[in-house]
Amino acid sequence: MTLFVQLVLNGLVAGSLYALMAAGLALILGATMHFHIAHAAVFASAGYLTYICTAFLGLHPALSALLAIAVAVLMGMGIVRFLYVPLTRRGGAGFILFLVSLGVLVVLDNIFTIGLGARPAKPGLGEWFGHVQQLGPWSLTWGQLLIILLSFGLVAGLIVCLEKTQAGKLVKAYSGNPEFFQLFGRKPMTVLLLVYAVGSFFGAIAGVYVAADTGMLPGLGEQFFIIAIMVVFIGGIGSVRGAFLAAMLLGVLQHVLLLWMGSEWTLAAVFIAFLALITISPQGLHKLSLPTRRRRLA
Amino acid sequence: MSLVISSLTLIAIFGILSVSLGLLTGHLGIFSMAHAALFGIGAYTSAFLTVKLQWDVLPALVVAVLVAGLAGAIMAIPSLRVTGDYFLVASFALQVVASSVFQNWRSVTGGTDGIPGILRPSVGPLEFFTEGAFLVLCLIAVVVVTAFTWFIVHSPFGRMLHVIRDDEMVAATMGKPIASTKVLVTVVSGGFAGAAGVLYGQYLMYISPGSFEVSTSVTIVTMIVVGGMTSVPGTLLGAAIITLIPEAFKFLQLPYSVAGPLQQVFFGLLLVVLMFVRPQGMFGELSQGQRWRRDRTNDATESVEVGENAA
Repeated sequence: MTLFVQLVLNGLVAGSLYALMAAGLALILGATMHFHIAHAAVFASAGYLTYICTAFLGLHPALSALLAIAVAVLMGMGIVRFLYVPLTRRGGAGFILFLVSLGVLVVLDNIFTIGLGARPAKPGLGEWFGHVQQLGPWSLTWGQLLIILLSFGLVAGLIVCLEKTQAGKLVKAYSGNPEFFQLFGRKPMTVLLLVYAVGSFFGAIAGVYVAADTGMLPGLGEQFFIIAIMVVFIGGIGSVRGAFLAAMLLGVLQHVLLLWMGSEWTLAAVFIAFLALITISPQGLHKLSLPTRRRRLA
Repeated sequence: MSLVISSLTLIAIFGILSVSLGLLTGHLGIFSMAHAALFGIGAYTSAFLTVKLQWDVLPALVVAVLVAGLAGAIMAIPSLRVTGDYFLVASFALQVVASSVFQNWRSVTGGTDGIPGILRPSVGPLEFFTEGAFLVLCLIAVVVVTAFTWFIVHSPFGRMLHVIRDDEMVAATMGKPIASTKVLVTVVSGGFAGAAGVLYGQYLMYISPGSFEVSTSVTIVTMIVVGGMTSVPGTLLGAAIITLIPEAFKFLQLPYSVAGPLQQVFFGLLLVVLMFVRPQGMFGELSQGQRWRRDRTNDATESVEVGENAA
């Protein structure tokens, strides 16, 4: 039982990371239906940039992390401003946007691999990050506690902002009907930039944590992206709350499975469970029907 | 000369992969990120049977193709239920699961060490041990696959595939068997990928999980996108271009740790630029659906014209 609770705690840490990735994606996918696989590159870049700032530029860890997150946010906004929007104006839709996004991911991921080699890029965030906090018979590091708090706090904040603020209402209005949104004289670009900035901010935080915890590696971004997008599908496209719950569930499941199988198989088991789920009941996952219509922007 | 032979052999093997994925994606509209998984399943099945169980090459080839086809059938199941992004994620997940099996099922796949000592085939008096002879074998294989695919695509069956791709509702209204067609084409495409895997293992005489990863799937996707996925010669040409680029990079004399990622950067840029300049690929045609969507996003008067053309 002690082991079980510890696994659940570790699962919550993983779930918090998935939740941060997925909440951003849920927002982006809900508003634009872009299959934004370059989100994986934003996530990875935040980790790599933190490493570069601390290891090569000798900056303070906190400053490095903030700087890296800021650059990652700009990256996300740049991708939508200079790639997706112009491409949509030229008539690109769904599949074409996905391929561009894939191209961006491949380029960014490999540029960092060329510069830093294929070994883990692990920035030191300071002694406190690995400090072990005893919680009765169980334990978490301060870094793990921080990421759980951040994840719960930020996602809750995002949900409140979407409900209460003017910006949140604009995002919802755009997600609901982009044509109507324009009819009322609103600029879609503002919403797009906002959505991508917030989404990238969430993903970048997860990226910095993963880099500091295990080190950022080529291909790690894709792995987190694919889990996050599954989470978004399970939770219901566009639903931040659903994505959060699904992320926690998936994280805990992945770690509790360790009771029965080796760590190299848990991810595969979770994926197979997802495949079975969407095969058996694609509609039963969430309230929305499968969106087949691509929304256009700008 | 050996460089030419090795390049041509690789082009032939990746040509099979590219043409078979083109059949699935370009003509049936099922976009799969798991083609490298099927490629790997063929390679590992044949290697396991011949090296560890001492089977003959020919029965091992047949079993490998069947197993890869079966894996394709399993892959087709989600495609019956979900489309678009959902299937993309499903195939991505399958690819990750397959990679993890290749790496971790040590008793069969040899883990990260892979399986060394794969023999090239000999059929009766014909032996394919030398590089040149093996190239001939690969060329025969790619010609057979390409001709078969070309024949399918230009047959009435191929036109049915296009209808299913462009609008499933229309195909269903015309009473076409959508589900069995999807499974059949996925199985055929998977079988071809498996055959390519067998040849790849025999060519290198060694396989390891690194050859069948997500990045391999991305490379195969780049091939069909560059050549134009709706054109059979286009997909073959795409395979040739994407296979030759790394050979060209070899002349730069870069260390291996830089050359690999640099190629990937090049492929990525190629994808981005191509989507802006010529999204249908070099030889591809815009499908009816794409053309309609493209024109719909222009202004209203043009949409009216297209509506008339389509009608």
